[in-house]
Amino acid sequence: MKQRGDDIDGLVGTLKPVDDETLASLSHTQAAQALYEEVTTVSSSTATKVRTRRGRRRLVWQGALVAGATITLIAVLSIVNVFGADGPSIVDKAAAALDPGEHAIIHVKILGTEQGEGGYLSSWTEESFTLTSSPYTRREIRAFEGSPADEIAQNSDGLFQAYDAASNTIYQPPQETRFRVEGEQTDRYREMILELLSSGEAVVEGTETVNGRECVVIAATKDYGVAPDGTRYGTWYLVDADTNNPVEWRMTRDGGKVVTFRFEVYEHLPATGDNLALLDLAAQHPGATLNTSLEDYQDAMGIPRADPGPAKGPGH
Amino acid sequence: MLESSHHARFRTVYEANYARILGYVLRRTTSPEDSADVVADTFATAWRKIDAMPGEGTPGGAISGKPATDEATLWLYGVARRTLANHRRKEARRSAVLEMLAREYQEAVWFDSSPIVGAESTLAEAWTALRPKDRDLLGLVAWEALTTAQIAAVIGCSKTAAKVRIHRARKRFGKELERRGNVKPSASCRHVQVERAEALPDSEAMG
Repeated sequence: MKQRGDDIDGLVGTLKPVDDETLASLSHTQAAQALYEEVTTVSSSTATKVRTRRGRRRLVWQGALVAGATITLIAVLSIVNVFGADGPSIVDKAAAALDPGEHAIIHVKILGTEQGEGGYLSSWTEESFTLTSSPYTRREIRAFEGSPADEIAQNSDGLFQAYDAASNTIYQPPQETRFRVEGEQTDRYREMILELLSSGEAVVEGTETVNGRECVVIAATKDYGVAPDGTRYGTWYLVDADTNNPVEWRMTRDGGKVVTFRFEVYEHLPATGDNLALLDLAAQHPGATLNTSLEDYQDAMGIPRADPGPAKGPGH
Repeated sequence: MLESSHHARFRTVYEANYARILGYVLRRTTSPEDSADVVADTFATAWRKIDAMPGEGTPGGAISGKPATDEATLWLYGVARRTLANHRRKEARRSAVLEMLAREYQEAVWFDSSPIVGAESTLAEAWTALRPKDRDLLGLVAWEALTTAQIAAVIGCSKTAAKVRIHRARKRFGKELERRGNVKPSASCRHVQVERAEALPDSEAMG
């Protein structure tokens, strides 16, 4: 007996490897949110690191140069005493400086720039306040050059609010329509830095002055390769030589992409009443109207409304 | 608009389509690491090429039982399909996010050397004997619940060509089944068909 098309599709349907309930459960997790953050913030970090043959040949030569330079560098660094005697390394100190404690608020303000192929340049500012204990409330204000600022607040309980300065309105769509996040959350820049520092590939490369601040340069360039013109690809993280606080993050990647985050503020605030108000959109905009309509929120955000569309049957 | 247009748009598309794309990838990969790589690369590509992304993402779709009618969704399927085809396991250091995703997929989904696990052996054998392109097409019909017109948009061909390819893929699967002794559709198969009949839109809707 031959199988009809619908029968075949039905049989294939029984082979379906992953059910929709599992997928739904996987779409509201910290990992899904982390991927979103990584893609929109540092998408190049997931890109494959390709080494060209020329790059490999250059690496051999540069390896010899770097070895020589490293010996010199160690001598220089010893003079400026960045290694310390028997204490923790600079990398350990830089990681320790990012520990906010259990119930605190991480306050970060950065100036970001991204350069890419064909003269592409984008810059933005971002200020955020993140609570380090449940419900991990976060308020952030991000403004791309030439665009109005976005200001949102969210937490792991599913709260999501967006502030529209033009109408002085706080939109709060129904909780079930939003992207809920489970588990602990932290500031994405802090997470990114800690990943670098714990990778085992971060090494102290020297010192540099940024905006008059003496900084120690921590670098991870292993495996990233070298451009044909000799430019090294990798990540460089600069910390204040005195406080070990973040000053600058630079990434260069194959393809000419350069992303820089300049930390204008990085501090840990105690979670006191006044400081907790920094997480609260309503407290920051006391005269604002609260609008809980999903439709109004979608219109304000420019999000198309779902088309319920009547089902009419199979179209094969 | 409250957010810069790119971010607002990507956020919408990501939230509406993460589960769909994850499903497409999980059903066609055999390890959590590969799944994580492909899902991450798909959305990274989507972000980089957001100017080229057609339409807008809409909530609902296959997960909620509604059809995936959105152009951006179909475009994302196409990106995922090409990413999957060109995928090479990353050998360099993996990011913490990729590790987190792979761990999560590992815990939630049973991975084996074949994405088809626990199916009746005759069916599974016939399925495995198919060419990957045929499996992909039949999966788009039966698992992702896409119409012929939508599949044409995903694979980048005319609706007629897609119809012919799907027909041929069904035929080849039928032959593989016959070769192993006939398999009649079970009650559960019929159930799947009924659900799809209720969920699918008019095939002409996508043009």
